[in-house]
Amino acid sequence: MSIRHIILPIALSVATLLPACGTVNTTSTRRAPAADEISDTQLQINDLLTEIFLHCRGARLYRSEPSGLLEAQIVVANDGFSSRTFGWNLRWLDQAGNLINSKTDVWRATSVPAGGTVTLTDLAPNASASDFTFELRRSDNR
Amino acid sequence: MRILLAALSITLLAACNPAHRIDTGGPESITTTSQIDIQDVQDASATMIESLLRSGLFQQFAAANGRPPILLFKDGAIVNDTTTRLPMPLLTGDIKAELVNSGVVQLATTYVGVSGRAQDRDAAAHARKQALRNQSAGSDATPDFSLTGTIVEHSSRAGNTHQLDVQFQMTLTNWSNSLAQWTDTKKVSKQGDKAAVGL
Repeated sequence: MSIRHIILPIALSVATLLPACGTVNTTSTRRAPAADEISDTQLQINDLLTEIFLHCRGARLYRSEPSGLLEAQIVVANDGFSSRTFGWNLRWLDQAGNLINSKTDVWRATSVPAGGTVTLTDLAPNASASDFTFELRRSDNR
Repeated sequence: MRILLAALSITLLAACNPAHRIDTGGPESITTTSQIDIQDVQDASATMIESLLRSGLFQQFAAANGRPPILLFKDGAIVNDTTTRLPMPLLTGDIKAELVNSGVVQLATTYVGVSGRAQDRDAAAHARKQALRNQSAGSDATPDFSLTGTIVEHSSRAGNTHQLDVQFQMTLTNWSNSLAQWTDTKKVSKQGDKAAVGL
């Protein structure tokens, strides 16, 4: 299967937040791609704002078993000194690049502590999915 | 004086927020800590759909039986034990639509069950008539699986800050052995001192 475009327009922004009570020290032992990772991937990461505390630490695409459906996993890290809340939405595209309409195409809110990471996962709605786009938006409130 | 009044009017007009349409459950939705919001429901239904698909149970059934399983999923099968008066189709509608329209399951709409009421009573009456005409025993499509669930909440307070924790739980029962084959929960927590627009 050819994965032609995985577009990650990550829109990050600094919010005026309350100071965090503490930060998280994150350590990872992973150095190489996982065994089930789909190798033919091309990432396009819009990292215009990645230097502003939040950044995409990694994106993976693999087949979820036993369903056999594609699953995306995105790791977002918070390099700032306060907890961040953001909304994200992952939309799946078929091989032709057309959007697959799905009820799982919803905005979800997630928090990531200062110095910590959060792993976001999203399952493709059906077998025709081959690519995805990921959108991230800061919370207006925190 | 007139200029002052005009300036004041313009300022007031600019400050108000006239009614407008927004993306349902989108980033412009209102977030409260006193009740379950539409974003919470959409998040829960999307999580449940993904978890059900990820389990592969329906796909395995279809591969073994040559047809998608028949699912019984009534709106009344979700017990809302929260203070929010939540119209249950807001939660069940998306799950039904996604599973049925993608061909993963067939929905049992003529099954009568203990409630004595089929979801589609006209179709159920037609099925009964057909069964009488054909002298066959079964008049309704017996489900292979049924979905049930609960919604519970817990609220807490620290000074002016209010926190609401909500848990959506769903269970899939296999009718061939009357055992739960899948269950999952989705928790949503919200905190703040007042309702606000945004995530």
